[in-house]
Amino acid sequence: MTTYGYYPGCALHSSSREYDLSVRAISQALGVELREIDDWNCCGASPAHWSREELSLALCQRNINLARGEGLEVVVAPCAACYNRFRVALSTLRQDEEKRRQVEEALGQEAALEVRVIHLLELLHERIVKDEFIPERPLEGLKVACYYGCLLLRPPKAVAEDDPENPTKMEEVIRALGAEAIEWPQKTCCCGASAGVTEVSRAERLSGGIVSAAKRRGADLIAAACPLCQVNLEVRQGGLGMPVVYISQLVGLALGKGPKEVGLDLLLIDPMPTLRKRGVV
Amino acid sequence: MRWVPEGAKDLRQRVLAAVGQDPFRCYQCGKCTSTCPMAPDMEHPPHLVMRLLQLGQLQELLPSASVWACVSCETCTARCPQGIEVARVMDAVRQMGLEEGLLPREGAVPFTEIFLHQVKNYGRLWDTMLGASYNLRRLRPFKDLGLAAKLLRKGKIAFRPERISHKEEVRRIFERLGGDR
Repeated sequence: MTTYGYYPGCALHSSSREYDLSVRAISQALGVELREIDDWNCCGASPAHWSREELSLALCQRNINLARGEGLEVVVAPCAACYNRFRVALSTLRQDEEKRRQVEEALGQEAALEVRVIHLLELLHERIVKDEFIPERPLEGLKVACYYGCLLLRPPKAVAEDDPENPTKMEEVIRALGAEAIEWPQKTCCCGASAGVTEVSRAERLSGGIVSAAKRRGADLIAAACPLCQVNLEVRQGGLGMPVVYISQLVGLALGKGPKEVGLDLLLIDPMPTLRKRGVV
Repeated sequence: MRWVPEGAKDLRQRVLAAVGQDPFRCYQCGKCTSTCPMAPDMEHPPHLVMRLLQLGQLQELLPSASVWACVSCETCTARCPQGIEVARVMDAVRQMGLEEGLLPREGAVPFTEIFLHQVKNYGRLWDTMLGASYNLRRLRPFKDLGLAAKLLRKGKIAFRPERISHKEEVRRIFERLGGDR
């Protein structure tokens, strides 16, 4: 059992708690103990870097310092937005001495820059694809559209652990679970989540385009690896009825967990009819 | 010698100091704009933002809602042939707007204020109130009420915010590094 730090982020503690639930449900079986960082704060997401870059860097770095203080060398973040901000903060602070000085002054301590932050997908890929995992209950016959969105891949230098234009790690995980991963060009297109509250029609234009493309390609459902994408693709798809689940929920099913154990009942578009039709639950 | 418009040199220094990117390296190929999912909603799409910065036209740029329509998808940054992190330049323009108080009054500006106000006060985001406060401020409290009802049924509405223990540490970050007005 390896111990990793765990940064759930605000969404996983509230409106996307099924993501948190499913990550916790599968971690033991994947040989990882996730230890939630004590007293973590919001990473600041986009509003912080829109307002001042150093604010975003310092909000992220406080959490990284807390992790280091607990002796954690690796931190897993399941939210692509938090992951992105952490990786950008570390890479900026390693290169820019002036910004590092300002951030350290605001924190009142030195910035711990040796901590590694990884996204959940990286952990799944390592434990499921590289370790040749055998699913207890293969998801045979299920057609999945793997959606990466923006923040797992861009800006490429700081965050991408895959080809930023044609990533394949999520598809590899899905295939290892016994399901089929469809090919589609929209997997890295922006869903517009950051306009989901303020400019609904714009979010609907982008999300609707992505979901209808998945539908045309014959996908049963979309797998997401970010709570902001998942919620936005669900509520701003324009009534297309396409379920959007978390990749961790599919891993849980393949591990033999029940639908409620991975929080499938908490999704707004019920994936159960589709999963039953395919005989995977 | 190359002619540089008045104010353009200072503006270049401000962008460099804020986000470490040099708008003068842009040669106006337009790839950022052709790849931008929000360009149809922008009066000044990314390549024009770069051009206006090169020309020192900050006053033209700041009140426009264009940079605030950017959703930070970073596609422009990933594809710029000059290696300019265009999305960070968009951030720099937003920041100058906040500093000078020249801002569009709708959309992402009030959203940003509400978001950062929560983080400063609780240490975490209270997402239930984020959408609700925004819609109230825009005087359309009933927008998304159907969604709120669904979330309530799923037990996803939080009636109070989560607060961290050491709020003073987060407050100190805000006091030193500003950002929230």
